This record gives sequence, structure tokens and C-alpha cells, in this order.
Amino acid sequence: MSNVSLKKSTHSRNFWRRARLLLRRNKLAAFGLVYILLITITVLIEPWLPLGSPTRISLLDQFLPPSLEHPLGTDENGRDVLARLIVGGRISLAVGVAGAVLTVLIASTVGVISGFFGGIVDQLFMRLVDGLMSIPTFFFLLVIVAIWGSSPTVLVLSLALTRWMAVARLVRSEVLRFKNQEFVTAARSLGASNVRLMFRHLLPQAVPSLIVATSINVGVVMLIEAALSFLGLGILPPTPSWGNMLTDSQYYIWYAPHLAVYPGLMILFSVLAFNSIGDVLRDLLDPRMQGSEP
Amino acid sequence: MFSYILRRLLSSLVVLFIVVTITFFMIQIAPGGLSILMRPDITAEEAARLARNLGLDRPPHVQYLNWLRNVLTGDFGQSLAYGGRSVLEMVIERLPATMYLGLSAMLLTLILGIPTGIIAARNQNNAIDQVLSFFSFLGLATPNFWLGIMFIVLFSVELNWLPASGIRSTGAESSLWDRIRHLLMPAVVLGTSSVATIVRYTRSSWLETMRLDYVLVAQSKGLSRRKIDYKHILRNAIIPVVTVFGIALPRIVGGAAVVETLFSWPGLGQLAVDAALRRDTPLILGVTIFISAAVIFSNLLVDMLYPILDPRIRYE
Repeated sequence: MSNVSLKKSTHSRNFWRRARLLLRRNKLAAFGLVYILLITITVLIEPWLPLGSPTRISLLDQFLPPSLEHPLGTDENGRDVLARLIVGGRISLAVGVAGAVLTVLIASTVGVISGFFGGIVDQLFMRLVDGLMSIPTFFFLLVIVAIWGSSPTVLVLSLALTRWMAVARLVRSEVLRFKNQEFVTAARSLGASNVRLMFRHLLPQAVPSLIVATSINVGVVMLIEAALSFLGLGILPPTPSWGNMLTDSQYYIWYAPHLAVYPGLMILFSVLAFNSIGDVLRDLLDPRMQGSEP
Repeated sequence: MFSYILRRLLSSLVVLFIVVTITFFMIQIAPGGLSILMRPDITAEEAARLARNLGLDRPPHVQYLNWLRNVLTGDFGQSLAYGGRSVLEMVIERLPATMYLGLSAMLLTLILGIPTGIIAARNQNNAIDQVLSFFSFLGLATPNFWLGIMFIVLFSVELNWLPASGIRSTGAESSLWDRIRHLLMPAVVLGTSSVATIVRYTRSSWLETMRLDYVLVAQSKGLSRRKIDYKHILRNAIIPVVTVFGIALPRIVGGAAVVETLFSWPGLGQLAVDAALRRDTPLILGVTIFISAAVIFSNLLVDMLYPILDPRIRYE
């Protein structure tokens, strides 16, 4: 029964103390948080950093080893690798965050409508969710890029359109849990419209799960964007991104294998960071998950 | 049980219908509409014939019915980039290589993922569990194409153990060993994220089953841990894992696009990426619809396994 008292004491602690406790227990998430903060600050202050150009080609400077001028050396076109990593990080991060936020927005709308109205609307949406979740949506991304070409906007839109299903299911279940409770009935009897009930009263109940979903989706969207860019179907050169830096490095793999290491590690660490932060947020925000697993 | 099978069959048809409808809408809202399926270099008569076939001059619902008929009869039109070759022909030509790679990755997922998940669950929260859980966490976050590049750097460039590309050596008759050597890296890279998923899934499914009453009964009867684990828990814990097949399959097939391209594997994934790069709309649409249908059908087959694993369904 010690479990119960532990649960109680965890509940009574305030939010930030619990956050600190969880981060101390989950070292990976603590590392992830620091990593994400550092990356975010770096990509934002990049214009003021004393770095080489990420795009200017200089064939005299090919494959330079690390030096004061080029801390991580240069690539096959003589471009500064560090500058490319930072500028590439900005676009990868931007697409990841925008894609995840849009995913959650679409999912919230569908989920809340589906759960609130139920019946045939719900049936239709849920069959669509089942359907989309059981097919390889990556190929649909290829179709979209083949038809509309690839730009950051197309990428964000298409990634969100192929990823919203799981989160929509989550929102729907939250709405179902709350829609017959007193506070909703009370709001309804006070004359609240359906739209107001859905978005002012029911959707806020799902916010904790949505924050967790956003964090995890940033990582997933970054992974898919990187894969598309790697294939030459995402962020296109000369704009560097972590994914397309790997495309180029592929051809020099026999000669300069280290060029393939950095962008990959950046992607890996970012995804790990967003996933583990998502886990901590789940423990912190989702009351049903509390006390289950550290 | 009959009603269960009928229900699965119907829901598969609904998903197929959704796929065909989505592709139709994609073409409709594309710049240029249905004409994106036509080669620019064909003669006026050919264009007119194709337009009639696609129903370009007809109202949208007729166009939709045409699209539905074409797709269901396997008529995906002609490739734009490959001199007007039949898309269906090209897809069928590439299918075996993808099935070979995909099934290998799936096999790897099952024979590596399920036992590892069980080991993690049986060692819940101790060091072994933590190491395994960390690696499955890592597996989910690693970009598969990067893992592939690192494998090539290590096993092909540095150690020179495994070939970096292709399905077999060209030239002389290739041996079984040669084929396995070519298969190893692509299959492992393709399987990594599904292995990670299935480890996590098996672990939590096992832990859930372990807490059920009937396991308590078995324990109180004084049965050995071994007997409880493998005679009582395994059978029930394995049922939801079948669902994972349904989750792993789209992941493996989707991953094939990247992995096949990286390892120059002559399959459907590489064809799809190539088609997308060349803006070959009929080809990429054909591959996508075909591959979706294949996944839907495989899922249906696996669902048929359910009544065998879980007798409760048989009596429904």
C-alpha cells in the first residue's frame, strides 16, 4: 500500500518540484531539454555568429580539416560544415514544430467533432482514421511531392495530413470521457452553443495529452522530413537541412565518412530529446498515467 | 467466427475505397487536373483517346467511376518517364524484390522483437530491462537512412565485409551466401524501428497479462515460474502482438522507399522514389495504390490468424 501514499505525496507537490523530480529521474529527458534549448538559441542567433557561409561554394576549400576558421571543417563544396548544421537545424526544427502543431490542430478538430457528435459523423471519421493508419502513408507523401513539388509549406501541410490520425483518436476518447459530465450539461443549459461546448469546454480537457502529442510529433515529423530531404524530395539544395546534407555525404562516403556522422547525430539527438521530453510531460501532465511508471 | 471474418473483409474493402478516393481527390486538385496523368509528347489522337478513357470531358462523378474502374482492373495507365511502359507491368516486375526484403525485415522483427520484449518484461525494472528499453528507445529515434549510411561506412568501407548495394553480385551465377550477404544490411536497417516498436509492445502486453487473475491462480497453485510464463502468460500475451504486425507492416513498407534507394535495391520503394523525383505521376500513383492494397490484403490475412490464437473469437 506504500504505492498509494507515494501517489498522494506526488499529487500534493507543486508542479515545478514534480517537474524537477521527474527530470532528475529521467536523465535522458534532462539532457534532451538542455539540448533542445541550446539548439534553439543557436539557430536563432546564427546570423550574428562568426561563421563561414553555409552556401557559398569554394572549390579551393574542399574537405578542409577542422580549424579555427572552420570548427568542423568543410564539405565537398568547400562550405563550412558547422554553419550548414546550424542553418539546416533551423529549417529542420521549424518544419518539425510547424508540422507537429498543424498535426495537433487537425487532430483536435477532427477528434472533438467526432467525439461530440457521435453517430454517423463519428463512424465516418473513425473509419477514415483506421484506414489511414493501416496504410503506408510515406508513399502518399511521395505522391504529394511528385504532384506539387517540394517546398517547406507543402512539406508541413502534407506531413500534418498524413500524421493526425492517432492524436485525433486520443482527443476523441477524451471528449467521450467528459461530454456527459455535469460541467458540460451546465454550460449547455446556460445556452452555450455546440461550437462553444466543443472548443471552450471539451477540448481544454485534452490539452495535457495534446502537449505530450505535440512534443513526440515534433520528433517524428523531423525524422520524416529528414528522410524526404535525404531522398531529394524534401528541403532542396542549396538550402541545407540535416536530411539533404546526408544525401551529399553519401557520395563521398569512401573519402570523407565523417561528413555523414554530424547531421545524423543531430537528427538522432533531436528525436531522442523530443521523445523523452514527451515521456516526462506525460508523467507530469496526464493524471491517468501518474504513478504507473517512472 | 463467420461474422468476424465478414466484418474484417468489409473493413478492408472500406480502406481500399478510401485509398482510391484519396488518390482521385489528389489528382482532381492537382494543377492541371487529370491531365497530369498524360505524357506531354503524345499525338493529338492519343491524347483524345486517353482523355475519353479518363473521362476528362465528363462530369466529376463519372470521372470518379472511371478512376475506380481503372484502378480496380489494374489499369494504372502508362509511365511518363519510362517511355510509356504499362505501370502495372513495372510494378509487378519490381514486386518480388520488395517482398523478399520486406518479409525478411518482418521475420527479423518477429524473431528478434518478441523474445527481446519478453526478456525485458521478465526482468522488469532491473538492469537488463533498462538496457533493452534504452535500445528500443534509441531504435525508434534513429533515422533509418542514417543507420544505413553508418552501416555502409562500417561494414563496407572500413571492414569490407558486406556489399554496399544491390540484391546480388552481377556477372556469375550468385550463390545463396552471396544473396544473404546482400540482404543483411538492408533487412536489419529496415527492421530496426519495427523491432523497437514490437519490443515495447510485447513488454507492456506481457506485464499487463501478468497481472490478470488467472496468473495469480496459477501462482497460488504453486506452479513454477517457467511453467506460468510459457504455458499461461505467453499464449495470452502474444495475442495483442499480432496487432503489432498491422502496425509494423506499413512502417516496413514505408521504410522500404528509403532503404531500397540507399542500398540500390531493385524494388517498389526505389521505383516510387524514382517516380517522385521524375514527376512521373501515373507511376507513383500506381505504386502507391498497389502497395496500399497489398498492405490491406496482408493485414486481412493476419486478422484471419486471430481466431486461431484467440478461441474466444471463434465462439462470438
